[in-house]
Amino acid sequence: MHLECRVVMRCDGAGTCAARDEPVTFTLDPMGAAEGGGTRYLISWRDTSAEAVSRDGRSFTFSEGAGDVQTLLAGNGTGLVWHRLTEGAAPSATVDFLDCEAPR
Amino acid sequence: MDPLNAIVALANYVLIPGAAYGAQLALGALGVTLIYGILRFSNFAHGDTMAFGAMVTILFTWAFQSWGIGFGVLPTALLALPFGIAVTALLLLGTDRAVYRFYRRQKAAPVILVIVSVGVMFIMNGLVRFIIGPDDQQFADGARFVFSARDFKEWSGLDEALVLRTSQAITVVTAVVVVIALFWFLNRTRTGKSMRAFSDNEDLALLSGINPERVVAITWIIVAALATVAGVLYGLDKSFRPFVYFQLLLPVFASAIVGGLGSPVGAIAGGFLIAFSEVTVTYAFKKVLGYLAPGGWEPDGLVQLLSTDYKFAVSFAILIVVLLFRPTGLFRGKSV
Amino acid sequence: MSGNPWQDGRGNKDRSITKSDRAGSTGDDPVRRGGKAHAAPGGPFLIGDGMTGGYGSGADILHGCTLSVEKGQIAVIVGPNGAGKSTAMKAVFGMLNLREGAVRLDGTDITDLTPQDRVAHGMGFVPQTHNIFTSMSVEENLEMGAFLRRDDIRGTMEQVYELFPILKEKRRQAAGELSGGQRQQVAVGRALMTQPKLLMLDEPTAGVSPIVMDELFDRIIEVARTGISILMVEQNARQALEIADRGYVLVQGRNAFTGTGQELLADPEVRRSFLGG
Repeated sequence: MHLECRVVMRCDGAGTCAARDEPVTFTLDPMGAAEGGGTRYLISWRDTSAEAVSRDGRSFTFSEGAGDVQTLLAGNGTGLVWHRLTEGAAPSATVDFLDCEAPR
Repeated sequence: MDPLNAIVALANYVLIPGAAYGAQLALGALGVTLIYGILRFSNFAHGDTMAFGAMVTILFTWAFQSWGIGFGVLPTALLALPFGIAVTALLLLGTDRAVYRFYRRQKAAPVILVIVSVGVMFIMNGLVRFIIGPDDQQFADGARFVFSARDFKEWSGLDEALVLRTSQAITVVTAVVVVIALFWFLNRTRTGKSMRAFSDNEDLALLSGINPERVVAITWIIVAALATVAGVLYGLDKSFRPFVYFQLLLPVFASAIVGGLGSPVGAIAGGFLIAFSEVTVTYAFKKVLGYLAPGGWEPDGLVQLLSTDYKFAVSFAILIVVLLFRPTGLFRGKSV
Repeated sequence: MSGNPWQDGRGNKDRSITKSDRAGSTGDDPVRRGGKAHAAPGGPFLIGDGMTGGYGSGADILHGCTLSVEKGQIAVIVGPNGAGKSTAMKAVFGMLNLREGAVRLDGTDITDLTPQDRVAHGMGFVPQTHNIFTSMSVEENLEMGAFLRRDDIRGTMEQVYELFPILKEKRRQAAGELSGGQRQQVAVGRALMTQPKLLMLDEPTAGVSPIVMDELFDRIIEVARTGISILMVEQNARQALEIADRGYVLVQGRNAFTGTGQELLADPEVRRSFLGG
C-alpha cells in the first residue's frame, strides 16, 4: 500500500505548531503475523525502511533503531498523524499532521 | 519471480535517493579536495560553510517569496542561489584575509591550519545558529514531484511505485552542470590551469609568475559556490538544520579521502561510493528479494544489514578499509 | 619549518625561491617584494659581479664569486661537491641575499629584483629537481611557462616542439609519465616559453643515461645558437666543458680557475684536481 502524503502541520512535544508543506510517501507491505497478535509490515519512506507492527490496520508502531519510537495513526478522512519520539538525555517529540491519498 | 517490480522498488529506495545523496556529497567533497589541493589543509569548517551558504540562500528565498517572486515549477531557492554564493564567497574571502592568510605567511604546518579551521568551524556554526536558529527550516516550493507514486502506477500498471521528487532531479542535474563547469574551468581556462599548476608544484608555479594570492582567492570563491550549491541541494532534498550539516562533515571528508585528497575526479567517485554504501547497507531488501525469490521462499525478516542509525559507521568503515589498502585513495591523491 | 617531508608534500622545497626569509622581511607578499632595476650599460651580457652572500642570515657561502656570459654563449660552472656551484647560480637568479656584488643582465642592474621579476626581465631558470608540473600535460607545462606572457605563444611553442620533437608527439600526455630525459626536455621547454635572454640550468643531466646526456647537450647547443645565453651547473665536468664557451671552476665559493672550456680541459692542474687526470 502506498500513501502519498503532505506534511501540512508540524508540532513539537509541547504543542507549538507551525504550518508546513513537505511531501513524504509511505509504503506499507505486510510481512506476516507478529508474535502476540497483529501483523508485521515493512514500512518505507524516503530512503528509510523499518519494521512496523499493527494490531488493527489503523495504527502502526515502528522504530528506525536510533532510540526512537514512531507511530502512524489514521485520522479523519484523508488525514494521518505521524508521531516521533526520540528518547535519551533530552527526549524530544514531533507530531506531523499529514494529508494523504492512497493511489490505486 | 517479478523482476520488474524488484527493479522499481530498488530504484525507488536505493538508486534514486543514493544518486541524489551522492551528488550532494560529491559537491561537498569537491570543495574539501580543492582546498586541500591549493591551500594544503583539511578544512573542517566546510560543513558549516555549506550550512552558511544554505542559510543565506534560504533568507533570500524567503525574501523572494514574500515579494511574490517565484520560479514556476522549480524551487525559488534556485533563483536565490547566486546571492547565497556571493555572500558566502565574501565570508570566505573575509575569513581568509582575517585568519588563514596570517598562518600562510608564517608558512604554518598543515596541522596548525586544520586546528585553525576547527576554530573557524565553531564560529561559523555559532553565526548560523545565531542568525537562523538551530531548528528545522523549510524553504522548498514549486512542484514537488517530477512524477508521484500515482503518476507512475497509472502509467506502468505495476504494484511498486517509483517516486521522483523535484529536489532529487534538480540535485542530480545541478551537480552534473556544476561538475562540468568546474572541470571545464580547471582544464581549459588559463586561470584554472594556473590553479592546477599551483596545486602540483607551488615553487615552480611561483617561478612561472603565477600569483599565489590570486589563486587562493579564486579557490575560496569556487569553494563558496560548491559549498553553497551542495548545502542548498541537501536542504531542498532533506531539510535544513544546522546540526545536520555539521554531521555531514564526516561523509563529506570520507568521500574526499576515499577518492584521494586533491583529486576532483576522486571526490566525485568517493561521494557516490559513500552515498550508495550508506543507502544500500541500511536498506531493507525484503521487498526486492520477495519479488525475486521463487514462490514461498520470500525472506521473513527485513534483510537489512544495519539499522539506519548506523549509517555514519558506514563512512568510517569504508574510510578505514580504503586507507589500509590504498593510502592515497582510489584516484591517487596526495598521501594523508 | 624543517625539511620534514610530512610537513609539505610539494614543491622543490627551496624556500629561497620565494625569498620567504629574506633579511628585513616586512611580512609583505614575497612576490611583490623587491626593488627596482637600474640601467647599467656596458660590460658582458650577463655578469654576477663579485657576489658575496649566503642563504637567509646564515654564513656566507659565496666569497667574491664572479660569473659572466656573453650573448648566445654557453658558460659552465664546475667544481667539487659543496663548492657552491648551485648556490652561485641561485645568487644570479636572486634566490639568496647578496651582501656584496651585483647582477647585471643586458645593460640593466637587476640585483634588487625578486626571482619572479627576473623571469619577467628575461631570465629562465630550470631547477635541478621538481622542475615540471607532473600532473599536467606536456602542452600545459609549456603554457604555464608562458603564464606571464599576454601575447600569442603558439610560435614559441612551435619552436620548442622543433627543438624537442618528442614533446610534440607526447604533448597530450601527463609530464609525470615521461622518461627522465623527456622530463628534462619539458623542464627546459617550460623555461624557454618566456623567451628568455638567459637560460640557467641546474645540473640538467642529473640522473639521465649517458646517451640522453649527449642528446641534451646537443639541444643546449642548439638553444645557444638561437641567441640565448646559457649558464649551467654540471656534475659531468668533462663533457660539459667540451661544449662550454666559458668555464668556471669554483672551490669553496671562490673562482679557482676561469677560461674557455678548451683551456680548462687542457690545464694540467684543473685536469688533475677536478677531472680525474
